[in-house]
Amino acid sequence: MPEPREAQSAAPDPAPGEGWLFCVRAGAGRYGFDAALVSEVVRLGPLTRLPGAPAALPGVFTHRGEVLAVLDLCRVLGLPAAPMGLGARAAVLRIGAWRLALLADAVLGLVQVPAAAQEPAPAQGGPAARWLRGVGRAGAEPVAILDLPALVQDARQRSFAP
Amino acid sequence: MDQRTRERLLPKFRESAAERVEQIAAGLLRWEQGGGTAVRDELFRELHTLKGEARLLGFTGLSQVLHAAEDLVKALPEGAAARPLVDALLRACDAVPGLVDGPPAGGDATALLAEGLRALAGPAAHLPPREARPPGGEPPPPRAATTVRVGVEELDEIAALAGDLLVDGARARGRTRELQELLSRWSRLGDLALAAADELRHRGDGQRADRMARDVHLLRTDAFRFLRRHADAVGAVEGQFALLADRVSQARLVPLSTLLAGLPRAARDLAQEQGKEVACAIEGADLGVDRAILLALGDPLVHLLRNAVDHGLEPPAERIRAGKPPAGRIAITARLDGEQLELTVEDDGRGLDAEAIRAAAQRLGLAQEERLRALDGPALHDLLFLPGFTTRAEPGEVSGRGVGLEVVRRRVTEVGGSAVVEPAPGGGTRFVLRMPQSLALLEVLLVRVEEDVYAIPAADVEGVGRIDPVDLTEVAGLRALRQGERLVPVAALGPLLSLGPAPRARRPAAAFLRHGQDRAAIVVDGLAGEREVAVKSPGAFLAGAPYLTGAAVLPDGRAALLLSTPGLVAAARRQTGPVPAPPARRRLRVLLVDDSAIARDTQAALLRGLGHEVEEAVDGEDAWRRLAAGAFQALLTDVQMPVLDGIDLARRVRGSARHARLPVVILSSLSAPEERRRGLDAGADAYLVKGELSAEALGATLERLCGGGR
Repeated sequence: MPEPREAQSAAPDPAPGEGWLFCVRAGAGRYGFDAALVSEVVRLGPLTRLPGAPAALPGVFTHRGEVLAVLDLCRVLGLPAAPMGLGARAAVLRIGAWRLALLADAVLGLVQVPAAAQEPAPAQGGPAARWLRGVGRAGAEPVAILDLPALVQDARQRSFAP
Repeated sequence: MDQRTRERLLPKFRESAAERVEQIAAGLLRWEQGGGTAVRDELFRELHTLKGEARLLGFTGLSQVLHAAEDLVKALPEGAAARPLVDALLRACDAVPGLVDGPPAGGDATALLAEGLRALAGPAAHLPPREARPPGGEPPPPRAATTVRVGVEELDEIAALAGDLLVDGARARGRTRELQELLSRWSRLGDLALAAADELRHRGDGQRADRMARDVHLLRTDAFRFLRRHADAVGAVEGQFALLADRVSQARLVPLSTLLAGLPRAARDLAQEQGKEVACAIEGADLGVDRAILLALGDPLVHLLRNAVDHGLEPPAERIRAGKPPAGRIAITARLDGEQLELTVEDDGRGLDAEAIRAAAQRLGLAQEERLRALDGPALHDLLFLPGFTTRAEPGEVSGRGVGLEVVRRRVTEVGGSAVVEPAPGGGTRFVLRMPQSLALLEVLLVRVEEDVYAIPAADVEGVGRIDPVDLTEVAGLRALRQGERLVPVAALGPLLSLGPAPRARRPAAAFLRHGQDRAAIVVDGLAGEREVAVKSPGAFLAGAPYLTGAAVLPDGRAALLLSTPGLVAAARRQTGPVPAPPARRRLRVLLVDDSAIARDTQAALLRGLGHEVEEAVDGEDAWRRLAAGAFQALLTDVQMPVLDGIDLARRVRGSARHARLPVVILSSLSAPEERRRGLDAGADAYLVKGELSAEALGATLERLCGGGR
């Protein structure tokens, strides 16, 4: 199960949207994903916990009348839970028909990583290996580029398999 | 018509053609059952309108078929003699969807179809070769002028906005109360100012004192006048919002006929396949129901219909021997009971056979003979809804595949409804489905688990109260509350939903729920009252989340999650509820091995919800190290892992002197029999499939392997 998927070969362009990545911090790492998936960044309201859900799905909150589930990227990656006090910032994602809020240790914002500055994922990718599409060089610190739709799908499937 | 207009109209035409064909098919069946001239007129009208639309869009082949169908309808004899013609017309109906998807001219197939219908109609009907006047006299009603098609998503969005307005209205009322409070404080300050003015007057500054007093009085009067006007206006707006939300939720309702209209035809076809006869009557088809409910009802109704034809109705010869008319009757009836929609599917067939049910349950290993003999009435009939239940030794052509009734119940309970089966008064079988008519606005009871708020449909709440430990008793490991003659299972919501421990209060608050015949007392941390909420769908991402049927936004901006009553009641009946005493279950120290953090998280939550202590390992090697370092009562392991996989880990554990007797449970996403065998051969005591994993199954397995206590 843990072998890194052949996602790289399946996706010819590793970062659509002219290389704009939306970046967050989880643990000590900087993670980025296709910025087009983020519709806005919001502050968390009070959470209501989901019945029978794993820690990666700490609950739901309402944003402009919409009920959004929160996915904690840190827990998905096996790290300690992200801080989720009132006012913590989360990225609202739109992935197909799914709308949810992604929480991490911090929202870092947009970073442009042209295709030329992207390298394939290393063989040992750490906790994110399953969803790692590559590594981007931007500034001093590398960005681990995630296949976020696949990550979200896996997290959802593990949480409430039919 | 230009090409662009045609292309724009085409999808609408296809949609309306499908609806009309359904109406025509239903009309034909009514005619066959002695419908009379009104039915013939309706058939003409629908055929004629459809023909006109087809011609408008250039479907010449189709319009010829419809023209021939009109002639044939004209020639339809009364009663049973109509059957061959009705058969031909129904076949033509079936061909229509294909024709509207195909090329406009239609080709040879259409010509043949039209020719066949014309031949059946006989020479008399050939007379008007061109345009036949609609014999109903009246031209078809101009539908487009009075109705508009609106996309369901748009309507849903409007409904959601109307629901939000309702919440905003409630918030505005809250602000009015705050304003009133603020003004009262100003008013109290005004009293002080008046006292100060008096003092001024005593000191001789009468003029300033008067002005001050006058201003205070004026300000106070104006402020309270404004407050009253404002409160009235807010009240009025709130009333309007409520009306709006109500109307929108009415508009979202879809008539049941869209679902029910096709059933008589389906029943007839099914019966014909089996050499049976059936007359299927529909009642209450004009009732409107929520689209979500309608969607959930489709499969269950079709299955119940198949079930009635296949298992309920006898062949004609057997019916005649029993003194019944040769044609069986199936009645599908919809009615409203308050906010609840009740649908019954009733046949006049051979009825429920208690012995056959017992025999089947025993053959399928669903229950032990002794228990089965003791079962009777509703409890026995309920076995029909168990997964895999079938009274057929061989799967039948139509139903009896053992997947049906369980799915019927599951689909209906998913939308907060229930399904039961009972003997029909005339000797047949009756299935009763009950569910809310609309999911949009719902009266709910709000309950708290710690700080989180959950909602339960008020219609399912029999009462609320506190649970006194002296009223509790334990029956077969199940904690129950004595209520007169009845024993009601008691469970705390926190552990039930894997959210947290049961409340520590000596006499905790509880909601008494009822679902069909089943009751349960659900212990909560607090009750937060009843209110009407606008229920939102939890969204695609959360579809399938356990217990979750919807969500509502509370006036304070929090989300309240709407829980499924059937789910809660069923879980409470299963759970050995540790309420309010400490857990009766033995607390185990479990080593959980999985390389996926998410999978570990999920399983650890389940284990902790069961009251066990969990240590996590990321692969087989890691687990082996931890086994050596600590004392565990059970090992739960994934199969596919790096370094050392679950199979090799199980072998290593079995081969070691120290851990040879440690219970090992394999938890894999692979469900094939050979995988199970591989796991058990390696020495595992149990093999559970992740996709099917439930707290109940996991709990039962651990209990079996580790015993009740040591």
